[in-house]
Amino acid sequence: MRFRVMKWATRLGAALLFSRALTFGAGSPATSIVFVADSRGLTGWRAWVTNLYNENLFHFALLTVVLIPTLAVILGSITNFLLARTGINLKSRVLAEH
Amino acid sequence: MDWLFIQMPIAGIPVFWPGLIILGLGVGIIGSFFGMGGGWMVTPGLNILGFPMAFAIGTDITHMAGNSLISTMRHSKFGNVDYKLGVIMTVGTISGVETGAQMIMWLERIGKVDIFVRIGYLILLALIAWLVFTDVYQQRKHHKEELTSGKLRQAVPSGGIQWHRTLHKIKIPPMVHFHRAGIYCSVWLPISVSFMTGWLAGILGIGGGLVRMPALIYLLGVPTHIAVGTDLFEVVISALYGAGTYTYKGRTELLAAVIMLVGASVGAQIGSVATKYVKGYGIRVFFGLAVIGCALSVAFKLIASSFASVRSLFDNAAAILILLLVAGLALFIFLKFLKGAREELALRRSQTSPVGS
Repeated sequence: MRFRVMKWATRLGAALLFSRALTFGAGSPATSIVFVADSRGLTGWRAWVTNLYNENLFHFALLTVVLIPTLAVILGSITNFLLARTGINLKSRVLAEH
Repeated sequence: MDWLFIQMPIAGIPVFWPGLIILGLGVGIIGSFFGMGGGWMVTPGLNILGFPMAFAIGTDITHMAGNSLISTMRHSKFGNVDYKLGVIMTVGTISGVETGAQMIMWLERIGKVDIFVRIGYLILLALIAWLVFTDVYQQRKHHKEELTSGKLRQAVPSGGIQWHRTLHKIKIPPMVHFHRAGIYCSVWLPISVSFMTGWLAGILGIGGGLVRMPALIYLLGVPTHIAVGTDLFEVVISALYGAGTYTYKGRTELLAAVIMLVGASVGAQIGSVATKYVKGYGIRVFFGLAVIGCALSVAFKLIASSFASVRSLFDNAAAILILLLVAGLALFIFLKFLKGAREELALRRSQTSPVGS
């Protein structure tokens, strides 16, 4: 019984090690695939966003992770305000069940 | 009808923008009701709208971060979020998501990403559907037995899958009490569960809610409503991290994510409030049905990609199925929301109005 547990634990460990080795070892070559957005013919904010994407992906990523939550909070607050106007209790839930 | 299409500046393709809003609305309703980001619907939905797979996953995760943030804000006010559990699970989730994301990049390099993602989805969905319906079946059987023997001790259902009881017996220190969820277990349990679910999320390009929601219920023993809220809090963190990494790798169409967020902001409120009016096991049953529908659509896609002669037939069938699934579930939840809200308002009116008037 103990031997069988040990055997399975070894197999599981080897599988985990193998999968991690694959994933970490494989990271860098795939990142070399480069996407370039075509900014020709675009004007205004679209041209700005496309150029930012082409020139500095870090800044583009930063813009994304700041813009999305900010927009979510603004839009969420607006819809929350509108929903509260209907008179529904938005502060408690009666049902409780596993 | 050109005004119905908007040119995506990064992907360089024209997209039907009302489709993005409707997709956001539907996914917002369903995601906030079931406690997930809804990647399993958004990724195929974006593909149907013409997005390449590489952009679909990144855009999906980015939209998911905003969508789940709105839902978490709402669920938090209902007391459905266990922040302590959510923060602890973040440790496992982030390392799991990064490992999965690295793995998917490698698969993309060797050109097997589509088939791998679809097979992975299929196996996972089949397992989750089996788990949910086994639980519901066991719970109903147990409930019936208690009714016939006259030993019914509690009004709320119990007796389904109880794996968490076994897992809670693992007493590896430090032990933690999660007050909101009402569980006491080793801190390593939520960390390892979240690593596993995060890894799957990273591979499949989803927020992880589809896996984490049943994992929270069945492996950690969190009540359904708390699982929904806590899961959404987790989705915010993992999806925001995923949005950052996928965008840094150049795989996000920001404009599409923003348009979808407009629809999702309405949907997220409706879905979250609807959980007030549906019992925990009710949520689980419909979650299981959604998983089956999703699995069928993925299976159709797999058949289409494997057999060229039936490609268009199964591709169309998958698209129709996923659209029907999103529309049907969103409509069902919306009707539950309307019915519950109407009853609540009527009750309040009857309580506040003077007797006899």
